[in-house]
Amino acid sequence: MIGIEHYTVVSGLLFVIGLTTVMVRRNAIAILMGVELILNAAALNFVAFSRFSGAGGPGEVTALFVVVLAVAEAAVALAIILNYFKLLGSVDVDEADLMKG
Amino acid sequence: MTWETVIFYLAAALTVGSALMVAFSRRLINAGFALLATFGGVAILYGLLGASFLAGTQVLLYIGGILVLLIFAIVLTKNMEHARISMTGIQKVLGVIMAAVLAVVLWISFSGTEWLVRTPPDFAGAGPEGIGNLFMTDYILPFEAISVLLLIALVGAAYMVRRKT
Repeated sequence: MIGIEHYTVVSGLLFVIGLTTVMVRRNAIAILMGVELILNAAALNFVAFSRFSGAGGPGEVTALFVVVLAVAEAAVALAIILNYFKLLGSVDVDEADLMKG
Repeated sequence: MTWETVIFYLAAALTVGSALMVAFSRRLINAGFALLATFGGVAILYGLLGASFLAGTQVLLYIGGILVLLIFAIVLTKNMEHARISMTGIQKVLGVIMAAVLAVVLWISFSGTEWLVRTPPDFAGAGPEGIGNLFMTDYILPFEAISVLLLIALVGAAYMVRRKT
């Protein structure tokens, strides 16, 4: 029987892998992918806890908010990344030190 | 083993395995396509949880929207589709150590928790109708706020990538 622990473990693994992606990668697009993994892990947890507490609605609504936020975040972040690429010809975050004081 | 158990383990393996590919594959375009499998696996998990509307939204918005945007960005940035995502050694080691510490912390809190609900209560999921009702009643303020935020984000994104005259 699949209980809530199973979903929690999958979501935790997804979160840890997403965090690893964010910390290990230097490419801005790859870091954005890690952020998407983290958001997915959190949304999965919301839905699982809501489902096992007997009321699926609130968790699904929260997960839908997360999806919309992820779309908005990806659109803005990719616009910034494309601008940055036009400016410097690279998307390496280690080289992004134009605003260094 | 019921069919639900089998599908759950397949979907979980697909999700975690492709997420590992996102984190460690050597070419950026491979990471992008591995992300497709991750989003698909999470959509299957949503379906198993009874959230079929959310599973459809996941496929439409994540796979049809965000992933296409990401792959467009990879292809638009010159030579990126073959780019080796170089990782410096020290950064890789430190990142993996940090992630391992977080995993241990999560595992400690996970195994120390007493789960009250072992079996899911009989419940078929809210469905599109229930979700629509929730959006228009209990969640009307966040719904309006997120509409404005989405508008601002899209106008901002379009403004940032416009052709400078």
